[in-house]
Amino acid sequence: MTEPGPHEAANQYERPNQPWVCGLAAAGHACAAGPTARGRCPTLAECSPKRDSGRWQCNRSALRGGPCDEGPTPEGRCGRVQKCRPVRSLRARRRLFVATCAIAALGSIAILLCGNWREHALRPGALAQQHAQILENADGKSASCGACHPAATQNVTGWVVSLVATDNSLPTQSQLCMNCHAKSIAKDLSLRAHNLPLRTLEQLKSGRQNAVPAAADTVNSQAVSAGSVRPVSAELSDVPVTPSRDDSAMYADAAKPIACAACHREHHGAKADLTAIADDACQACHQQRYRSFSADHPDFGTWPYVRRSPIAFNHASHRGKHFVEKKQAFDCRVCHVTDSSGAVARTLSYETACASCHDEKIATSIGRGVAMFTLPIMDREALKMGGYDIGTWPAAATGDFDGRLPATMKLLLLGDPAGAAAISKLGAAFEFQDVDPKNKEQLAAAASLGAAIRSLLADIGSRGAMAVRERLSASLGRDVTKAKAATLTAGLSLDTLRGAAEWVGPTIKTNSTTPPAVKLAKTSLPYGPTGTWSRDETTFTIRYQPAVHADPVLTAWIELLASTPHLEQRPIALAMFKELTKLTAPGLCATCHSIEQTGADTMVVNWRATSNVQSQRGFTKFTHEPHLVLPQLNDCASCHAVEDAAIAVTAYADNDPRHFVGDFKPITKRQCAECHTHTAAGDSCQSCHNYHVEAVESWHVAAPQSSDKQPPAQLRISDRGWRIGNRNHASAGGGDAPAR
Amino acid sequence: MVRSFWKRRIRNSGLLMVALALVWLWVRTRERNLQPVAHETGYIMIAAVFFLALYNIRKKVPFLPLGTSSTWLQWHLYVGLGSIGVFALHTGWHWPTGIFETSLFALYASTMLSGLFGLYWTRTIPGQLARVGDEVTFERIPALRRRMQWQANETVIESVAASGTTTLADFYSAQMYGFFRLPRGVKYFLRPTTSRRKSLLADMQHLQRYLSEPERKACEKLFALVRRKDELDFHGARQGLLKYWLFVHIGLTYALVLAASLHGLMATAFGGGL
Amino acid sequence: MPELEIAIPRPQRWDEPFGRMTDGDVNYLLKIEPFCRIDARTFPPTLPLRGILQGDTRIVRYEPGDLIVREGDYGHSAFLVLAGTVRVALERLSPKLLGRAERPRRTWRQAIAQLWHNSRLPEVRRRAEIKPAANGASIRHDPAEGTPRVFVQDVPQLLSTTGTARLGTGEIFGELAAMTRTPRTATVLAEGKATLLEIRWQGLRDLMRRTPAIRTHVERLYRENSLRAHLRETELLRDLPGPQLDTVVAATQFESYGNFDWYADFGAQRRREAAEQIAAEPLIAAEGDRPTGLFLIRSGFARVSQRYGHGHRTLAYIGKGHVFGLAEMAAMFDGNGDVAWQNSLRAIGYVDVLKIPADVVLQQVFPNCKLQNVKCKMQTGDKEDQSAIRNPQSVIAVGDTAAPLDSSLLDFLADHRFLNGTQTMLIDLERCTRCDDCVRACATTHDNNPRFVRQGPTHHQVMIANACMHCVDPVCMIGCPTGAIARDTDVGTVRIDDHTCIGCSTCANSCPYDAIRMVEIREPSGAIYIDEATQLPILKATKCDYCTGQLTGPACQAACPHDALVRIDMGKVEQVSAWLGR
Repeated sequence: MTEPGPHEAANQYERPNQPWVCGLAAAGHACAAGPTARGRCPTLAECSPKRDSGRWQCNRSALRGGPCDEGPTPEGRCGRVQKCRPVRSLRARRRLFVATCAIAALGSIAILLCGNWREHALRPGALAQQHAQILENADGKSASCGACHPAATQNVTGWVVSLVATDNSLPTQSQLCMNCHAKSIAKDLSLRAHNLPLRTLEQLKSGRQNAVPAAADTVNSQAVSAGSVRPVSAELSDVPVTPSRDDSAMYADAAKPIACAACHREHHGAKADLTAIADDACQACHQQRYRSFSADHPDFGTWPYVRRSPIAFNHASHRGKHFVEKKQAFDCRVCHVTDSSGAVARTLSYETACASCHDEKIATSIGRGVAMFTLPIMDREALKMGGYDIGTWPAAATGDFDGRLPATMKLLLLGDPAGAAAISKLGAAFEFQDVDPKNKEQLAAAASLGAAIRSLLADIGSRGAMAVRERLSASLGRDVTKAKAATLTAGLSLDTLRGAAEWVGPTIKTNSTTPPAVKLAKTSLPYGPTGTWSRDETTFTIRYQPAVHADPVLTAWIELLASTPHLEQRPIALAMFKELTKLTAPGLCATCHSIEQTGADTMVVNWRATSNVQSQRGFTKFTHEPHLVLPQLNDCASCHAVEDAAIAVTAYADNDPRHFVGDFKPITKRQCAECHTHTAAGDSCQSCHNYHVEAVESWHVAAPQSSDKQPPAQLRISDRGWRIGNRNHASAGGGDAPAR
Repeated sequence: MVRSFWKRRIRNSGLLMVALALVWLWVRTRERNLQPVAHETGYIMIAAVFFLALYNIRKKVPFLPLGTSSTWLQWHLYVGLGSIGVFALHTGWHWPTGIFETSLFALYASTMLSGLFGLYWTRTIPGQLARVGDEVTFERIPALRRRMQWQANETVIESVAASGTTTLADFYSAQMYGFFRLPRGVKYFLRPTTSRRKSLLADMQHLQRYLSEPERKACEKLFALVRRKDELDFHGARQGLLKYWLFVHIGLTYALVLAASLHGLMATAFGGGL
Repeated sequence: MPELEIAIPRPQRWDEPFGRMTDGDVNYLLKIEPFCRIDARTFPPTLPLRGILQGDTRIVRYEPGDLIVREGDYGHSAFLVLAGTVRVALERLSPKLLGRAERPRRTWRQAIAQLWHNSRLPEVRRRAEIKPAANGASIRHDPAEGTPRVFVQDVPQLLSTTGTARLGTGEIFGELAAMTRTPRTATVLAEGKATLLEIRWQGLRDLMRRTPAIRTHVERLYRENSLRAHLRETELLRDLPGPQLDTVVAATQFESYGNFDWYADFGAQRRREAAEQIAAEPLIAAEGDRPTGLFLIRSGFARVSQRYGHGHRTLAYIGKGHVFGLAEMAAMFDGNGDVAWQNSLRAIGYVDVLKIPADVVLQQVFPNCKLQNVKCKMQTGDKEDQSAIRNPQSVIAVGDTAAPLDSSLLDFLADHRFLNGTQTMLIDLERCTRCDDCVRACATTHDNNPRFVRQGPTHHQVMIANACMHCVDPVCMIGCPTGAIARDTDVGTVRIDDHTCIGCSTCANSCPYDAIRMVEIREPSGAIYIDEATQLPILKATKCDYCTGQLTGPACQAACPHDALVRIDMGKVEQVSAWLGR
C-alpha cells in the first residue's frame, strides 16, 4: 500500500464541472492526465524516462511530484503507469439522476397519454354521483370524458393546437351539458342569467323600478293591511328593493352568457354538492351587497301572499263569524293536514271540509234544476201586427213577451246565423219581456229568434250532441271536440229534446216509430236525481239537475267558455260566461272557484285548491316540513296570522289573481331572521332562492331562434307564492329540506 | 455592500405578503364576479414554476449579465414561498382525487418541501461546518479519508514494531479499523452525532493502562486521528447533504415542470369555455 | 486512437520579442549612450546584451502630442529618449484629457457562444495558441502598438497652462513604475516628433543588475523626479509652500525595510509561530522609543502594533500613501517634550518608506500647513478631545476607517500578507453552502477551466480563497522572464498572457497566496503537450483574470447564490468590516 498523496500536493484546480474523475482520486493518486472526454482511462505513464549517460533517468515533472523513487524499468519505461476506471463526478451523477427523473416523468406522461386507462388517470377527481353515471355507462374509449369535454375527442396535438387556435367545430362544454339538461332548461336560454330571455330580465328590472316607490318601505304593508290594492306591477316586485348602486351594470352582466361551469364546479368528489353556490356568486350580478339576511335583506312585502288563493276562502270571516255561528273551533290543522311525509296538504276536499255547511246553499241555488232550454212567451199578436208568423207555438207560451233564455241555449242559438243576428240585435242579456212590440226591429228579431229556437230544438232533437258540437263550434269560433260536446249534454236523451221540439212544431220525423216520449217525460219527477234532465211541459223548459258539487255538465259549460281564446272579443259569449259564473248562478260555482285570466288569452277556473302551476320553479322556495318540527311554529298562525279586516269580495272581483287583498297579515322578515342567521338555520341566498326558474309561458318555444326579440304576450314568472306547501316534484320524497 | 440580511429578509417578506394579498384580492374579486379564477391562478402558478425552474438554467449561463445568482436566489426563494399561497388559491384547499392530479400535487408538495428543507439546510449547515474542523473540499474527502486510514495503520504498525506487543493493534483492528476505513452510514448522514467518537475515545482512554510507552505514544496520535476522522466524516455527511438534497429538488423540478405543463395544457384544452 | 502526448519545442524567452528589432537597430543602440559604455562581457552567454536589446527593447516613434505614459497606468517598461524631446507633466491631468477609453468587452453573442465553444477537457489550447508563428508574423505586442495611439489635441495650450519638465536625448523615464510595480506617477507626452527606446522591465532589470552605472543613474533619477510628486500626494504636505517643500525633499531619507524578495521565503516564515513572525519583521519604529521623524509609506505594507501581554497586537496595517507618527509629531509640536512612539511600525515583507526627520517636520511643515485640519482628520469623531493627540492610540487606523476590524482578524490578514489584495476573494463560511457554483461559473467563463481553488487560509468564518487578489504589489510579476504576467494598464488587474507564458513556474512559486497554478495543457483532442527536448509536459501558469472582458464582472461573485463570496479591496477596511457585519 502506497501512501496517498497529501492533498496539498494535488496542487491542482478542483474541477467539479468535469464529468469524469480519475478512479484513483479517491485514493489520493489521481493522475495528472485525467480521464478522456469519454470517461476512459488514458493509461498514461507519469513520465518519459530520459537516457542520461547510459542510465535511464526518471523524468517526472515537478508538477507530478518530481522524479519518483522507483525509477524507470531497465527497458527505459516508466514504472508508474496508472490504470483506473474513471468515475462520474458528483456533477455528472446529478446530471444523470436529473435526466433519469426527467425521462421517467416524460415516460410516465407518455404512458399516461397513450395507455388504455388514460381517462381514468387523467381524470382530475371524482364526479358528483349524478354525473359519475356518465362515465360508468360509457362504453367507448373517449366517449366518457367527451360527454362533457369537447377536447376529449382530440389527441394531444389537438390540445396543443387549441392553445393558439380555437376549433369552432367542437361544441362548447355548456352545449354538452344541455344534451342531458335540455328537459329542465331551454337550450337556447341555457347560458342566460336565470335562463330567462334578456327581454324578460329587462321587464323584471322595469317592474322592479316601477314598484320601488310603492314597495320600498313599510307604507306598503300598511296599505295592504288597510285594504288597498297592490298595483299589477308589484307582481314582479313583491320583494321591495332599494335601487342598487349599479343596476345597469347588473343588466349588462345579465346580457353576457354564463357557462354552466361558472357555478357548477365538478370533479370535487362523489359527495360534492354541485348546486351549492356561495352567496358571492349571486352577488356577482346582484350588486346590492347583503352582509346577512337579517341585516340588510329587504323585507318580504306581501310575500308569500302574492296572489289570491284559487278558492275564494275567507279565513277571517270563517274564523270570526261562520265557525263561531256553527259553534266550531277554527283550527287550521283540521283543513290543512300534513301527509305522511310531513308535507302540508293545502286543503281537504270539499266533501270533507266544506260540504256540511255549503251543500245546503248550493242546493238551494239549484232549486228544481237548472233551465237549459226553455220556450219564451211570444206575443203572437204583436208579431202578427208586425207581419210575422211564428208558426206553431204552444198557446201556453203565448201572450205578452216574456221569459228568459238560459245562457246555454243562447250559446247554441249563436251557432245559427239567424239566431246570432237576432241575439246581437236584442243584446246578450236580453229578456223577452224587454222586447218592445212597437219596435219593429226588436219585433223582427224576436220573430227570427222564435224561428231559431224552433230550428234549434228540431236540430238538437234530431242530431243531439252532434248539433251541439256544430253550433258551439260556430258560435265560439273554435273546434269543440266531440267528447266535450258530449259532456255538455251528458245524460240528455234525444227523446227529451224531441218532446221539446214538438212544442213548436210538427213531430219530427225519425226512424223511430216508438210512441212519443212526451208521456214518459211528463211522468218524470220534478226533482230528478243528480245528473238527470227533465222536460217541464208546463213551463216548456228542459232542466238539468246537477250534483250539488263538482257537477260535470255545469263545469263543462263553464270550462268550455273559459278555455275559449279571446272570449272578450265575443261579447255575447262573454256575457253568457259571466252569467254562468255570476255569484248567484245555479251551483254558485264562481262563489268559491276563482276565475283567472291566463297568458294564453283564455281563462282558468280554479276548480282545485292548489294551482296547477304549483310545480313550476320560482325564484323563491319554501318547505314547510322542517319548520313544523319546531314546536313554536307548529301553530300555523304563528306565521300566517289572519287579517281580520280583509274584505274577501274585492279580491275576487276580477280575473287577475294578483289583484287581491290577502286575508293574512304579511309575514315579516324579522320572523324568519330569528332563526335564519348565519350560525343557526343558515342565511345563504340558496336557502330560499332558486337560480334556475321555470317560466310559465314557453316563450322560447314560440320563437326559438330569436326569443329575445319577440316578447311574450304577457309576462309571467311562475307564481312564487304558490310554491308554498309542498316540495318540488323533483325532490319529492328526498331528504334535502333546505333548512340547515 | 452595506446591507443587512435581516433588512433584506424583512423587506422581501413584506413585498411577498403584499404581492400575495394583491393576488388574493384579485382572485376574490374575480370569484365574486363569477369570473373564472382557476385558469388565472393556474397561469400564475405555472409561470411561477417555470420561473423557479429557470434558476437552474440561469446557473448554467454565468457569463451572461442576467443579474447575480444571489438576486436570483432571493427571487427563487420568495417566489417559491409565494407559490405556496397561489397553489392554495389554485387548488382551493381541495385535496385532489384524480391519479394525475394527485401526482402533480405530490410533485409540487415534495418539490416545495425539498426546497424548504434545502433552505433550512443551506442556512444552518454552513455554520456547523465552519465551526467543526478544517475546511475541506467535498471531492477531496475520500482521498483524505484514505490518507488518515493510512496514517492510522502506519502508526499502529510502527507501535507494534517498537513495542513488540499487539495490545493496541488488536484494539485497532477490532474497533477502529472500520471507523477509519469507511464513511459513516445513512443514519449519521441524516443526523450526525459525536457518540461514536466519544465511545471510541473513551475506550482508548480505558485502554491506556494496558499500553506500553511506544503504544501510548501511538495512541496519542490515534486520538488526534480519530478526532480528525470524525470531523472529516462530519464534513462529508453535512456537505453531502447539502449536495444531495439538490439531486432530489432538481430531479423533482423537471418532473414537476413536465407534469405541470401537461396539466396546464389539459386545463386549457378541457377548460369549459361557454 | 488519438495521440496521448504530442511533442513540440518548448517556448523560450524572446520567442516573442518585445518589438521588431533588426540587427541594425541593435548595432545602432550598442553605439550610443548608455549602451556603448556597458561591458558586454559581464553578461553570461545565456543572457547576452545583444539578446536583451533584441528581445526586450523596441524603438517606438511618437508624433507630437502623443501620450507615452499616463499617470496612474501600470506599466512594465522604461523609456530612453533616443531623439526629440518629451514633456513630463508635473501636475495631474484630467482623465478626459488623457483619453481613457472603455475596455473592449465581449458581445452577447460571444458570451453565449461560450456555451458550445468551451472545451470539454481541462486546459485545452489550440496549437496556434501555444507557439507564435515564425518571423513574428503574428506578433502580439503591448496593446500600445495595436491600438490607436492617444494624443492630446492642443499641446501648446496644455504646455502653457501646465507645469512640465522637459526630457531630452539620453534621458530615462518610467523606470520607477517598471521596477517597483507601482503605477506611473506622471504623464509623459511627446513634444515634437520623438523616438524612444522602450525597455521591458525584465531587460532593464538585467541591465541594472550587470551595470552599476545604470543602477545608480536610475536611483538618482527617482530622487530628482518622483520624490517631490510623492510627497505632494500626502495630505499634510499638499498645501506646503514650494520653498518649504524643497527643504523637505532635500531632507527626506529614502529607507527600505525588509527583503525585496520577501515572497521567496514567505512560505517558510508563515509556518513559524505568530510571535516569531512579528518579531522577525523589520522594525521601522519601536514602541517607546523617541520619535525621530514622520514616516510615509511609499510602497509595501507595514504593521502598526502595540505590546499586549507577551506579544504584539496588530492595531492596523498601513500601506502606500499612509503616514505614521503624525500624532506623536503633533504632540511634540504642542510642546510636549516626553513623547515616545505609542506603537511599533514593522515592515510586512518589503516596505519603502520616506522618512522626514522630526526637526524638519516641526520647523518647516507644521508651521506652514493647516495643522488643525490634519488633526481633525486624525481624530475621527473626537474633535474636542486634545488628549487624543497625546494618546495616539485612537488615531491609528488605516485610511478613513469607519469600523476598525477585530484585532485578531487584522493579525490574520497581516500575517498572511492579505493586505496586498485589491480584489481578494473572501468567503463567508457561515453562509457558504460549498455548492461550488463559484468554481463552476469561473470554469464556464474560462473555457471550462476554473481559475481558483475554493480553499485557503481561514479565520473564524472568513476564508481567503486561493484566488488571485490582484495585489497592490504583485510580487508574482517580479520573476517573469517574458512579461507574460502583467497588469492591465488602467485598472491594475494582473493577468497572464497565455500566449507569452513559457511555463517556467516562476510566478506560481513567487505568489505567496497560492493563487497561481501551473497546469499541463492539452490539444483539443486531449493529448497533453510535451516538450520535444525534455519530454516533460508543457506547463502554463493560470490564475484569476477577474473575468476581464466578461459581461458580468467577476463570475464567482455573481454566481454565489448565498452572498457568501465577495471580491474586496483589502485596502478599504470599511468595506471589509461592512461586509463582515452584514
